[in-house]
Amino acid sequence: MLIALLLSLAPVQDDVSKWIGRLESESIEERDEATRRLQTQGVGAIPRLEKARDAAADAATKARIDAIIAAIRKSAELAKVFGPTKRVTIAARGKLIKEVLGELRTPGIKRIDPGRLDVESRIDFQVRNVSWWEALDRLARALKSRYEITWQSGDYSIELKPGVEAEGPVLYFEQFRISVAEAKRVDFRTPAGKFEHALVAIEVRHQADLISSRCPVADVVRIDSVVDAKGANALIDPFDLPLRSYDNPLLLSYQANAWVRHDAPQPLTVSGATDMPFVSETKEIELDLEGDRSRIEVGKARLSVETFEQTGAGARLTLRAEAKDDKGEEEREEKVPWIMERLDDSSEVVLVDGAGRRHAGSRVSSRGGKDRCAWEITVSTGIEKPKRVICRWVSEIHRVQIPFRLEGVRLPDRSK
Amino acid sequence: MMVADLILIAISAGALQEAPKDPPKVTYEDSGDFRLLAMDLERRFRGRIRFAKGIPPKDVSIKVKDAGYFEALDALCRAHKGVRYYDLDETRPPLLDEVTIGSGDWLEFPASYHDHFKTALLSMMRVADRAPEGLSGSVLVVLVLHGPPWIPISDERGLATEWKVEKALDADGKDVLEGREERYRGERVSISSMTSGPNTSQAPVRLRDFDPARGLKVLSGKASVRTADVTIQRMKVEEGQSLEVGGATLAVDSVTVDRVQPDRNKWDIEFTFKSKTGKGTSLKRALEGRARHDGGKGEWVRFNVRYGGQSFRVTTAAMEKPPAWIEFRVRGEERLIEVPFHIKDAAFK
Repeated sequence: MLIALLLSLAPVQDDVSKWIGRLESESIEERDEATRRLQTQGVGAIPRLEKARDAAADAATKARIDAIIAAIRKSAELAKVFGPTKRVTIAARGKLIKEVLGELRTPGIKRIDPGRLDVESRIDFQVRNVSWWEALDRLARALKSRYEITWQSGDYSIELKPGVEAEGPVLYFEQFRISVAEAKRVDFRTPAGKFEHALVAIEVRHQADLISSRCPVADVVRIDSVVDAKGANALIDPFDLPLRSYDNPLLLSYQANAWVRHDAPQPLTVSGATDMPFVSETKEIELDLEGDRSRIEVGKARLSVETFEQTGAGARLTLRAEAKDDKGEEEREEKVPWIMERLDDSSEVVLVDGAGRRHAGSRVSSRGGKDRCAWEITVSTGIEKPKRVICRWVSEIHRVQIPFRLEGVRLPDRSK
Repeated sequence: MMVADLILIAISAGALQEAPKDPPKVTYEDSGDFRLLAMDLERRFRGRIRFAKGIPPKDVSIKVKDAGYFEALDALCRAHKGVRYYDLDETRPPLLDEVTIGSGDWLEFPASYHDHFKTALLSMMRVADRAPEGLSGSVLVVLVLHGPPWIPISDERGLATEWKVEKALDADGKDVLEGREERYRGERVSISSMTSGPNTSQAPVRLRDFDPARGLKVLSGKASVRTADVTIQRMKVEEGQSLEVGGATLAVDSVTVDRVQPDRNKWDIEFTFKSKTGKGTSLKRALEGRARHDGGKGEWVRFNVRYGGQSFRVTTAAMEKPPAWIEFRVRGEERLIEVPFHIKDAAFK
């Protein structure tokens, strides 16, 4: 244990060879551990991994190494866009539970509600340099709890509940947690016949400080294949079934599901990829209510104050945005996708009066879509000499594409 | 065969104009051709029956005692064995105030009859999922209430049937009604089956785990239906025309041509609905969502109320000129019908 700890403290060149060797282990746990270790080696390890892939004897190992290389590259990309991932190290011996929970504070999560736990009792708990999701999972398990994510008044909270979450494969990747959220058997019977099927759902959670965009994407989470223990396809075409499935994703998560053969030899391997849109850059925009500066260009879009009127109780304003039309339709769609999602939801639109006082507005409606949109904003207080409007504009949306491969997926026992 | 079909439909439609609301239950015994017996049943209850294509002719016998509409209809279809009126593979959308009989193996759903209603158990779906502390199982059963053609109960009419399951015992007599213990609620995927029928209301009910092959000894409770008698009211199709409907006004906003082509024009008629007091009856309560007009085929055509519940559009069939009049099915005073059910020994092997 101590040796393993020391090795992990100081990654050395030999580590790469050692962990590459363990990618061919019979044990899923050892393979997973090797995968995790290799992913932390950084882009410098890629040439050796590529050599190992070319030399690997079996297709499964080649696929694993390819996934590791892709993950290393992806980590570097995500670090550029979102900054470094929050890592957690806790070394608690006989520490109060409330203090350990306090160490999991993170931007975007207001509190961790201990539920029925006695927070004055003490716990031994250690994690070292793990992602926030992994630390939370491991702490919940140590406390014989699971957790739910709640949202109230603009803040997320974590609520601990009694009962440990069912074991299943989980991938922790930078700010994300990819897991099998559901694996269920379905025995459907009617007078017309009997149908047995199984269903697997993949869930991708993201850290609360990442702001997801509602910009529409075809498959935010995509399951490409489900392969059984003998390497055969276990997927079933959902249109062949008398049943339909509906996702109920948790907060801070995206989800996808797939129907599989109930009699597929286990364990199963689920592969796919994410394509999650997140806000990666916003900028503050100021427009005068009238005159030349009431219309400006932001990147590939034109933003303007279309109407402004003072009402008895306050004021009403319409902001309008359009994709610039200088390079044709294709350019508009490619470079400025989903104008409607560009006015930042997480900040207020503010009207500024002649004395520089700021008046918060409420968005009452938005009409538009891909390449144009109009937002109606009202201010409920009277404004003297209104001058300008300030808002935040989403200037970049980054689509996070993470390939995943979850091995060791088991369906629940068939018996009642 | 087709001519005979048309004659049968014409006869039955003509005979049904003055249908009584609640015909008595029947006790009788008879034998003969299935269609003739079905027409006889239609006459006894004055509940319209339509025959889909391809029903195999067959002589059958029926014997019922103090039976309501669906109990008698089931006895007849069961005797034939090769027909059914639920889960039909039909392209024509069924009308709400008729029962369509089509070909297909008779399916014996566990059922309970009350007056002219039928409550049936459509399916059982056992789901075993991973949950805290191990395996979690539950069974989703789907109940369906069939209303006779003369009593509108369908959810499609903007009505909502309230269901209350009071007792559920598995084959061993164990209580499996949900709510007696905390069930894991972390499910991320819900599953439903896809069936529907005209003038029906469905209720999915989740029960504690049991073996569907051994089934349920008892499943009982009641369905409460808010229904209303319907009167047909006609108005002119002209911009500005209005019709008083209960405590509200229905007005024609516009009549525009949908497609300009000789003899192929369709007409969009836009309506708004305004309650006089501002808090009066809602559009969905006041009107069934169907209309018919002159110049068409006389069929009731569905319309969808827009978001906000104050306006809708009726698009006509292809016709050269806009219709002169349009008719709506105006709902009267609501009445509550309680349909108790008690289904015994229901198992799907």
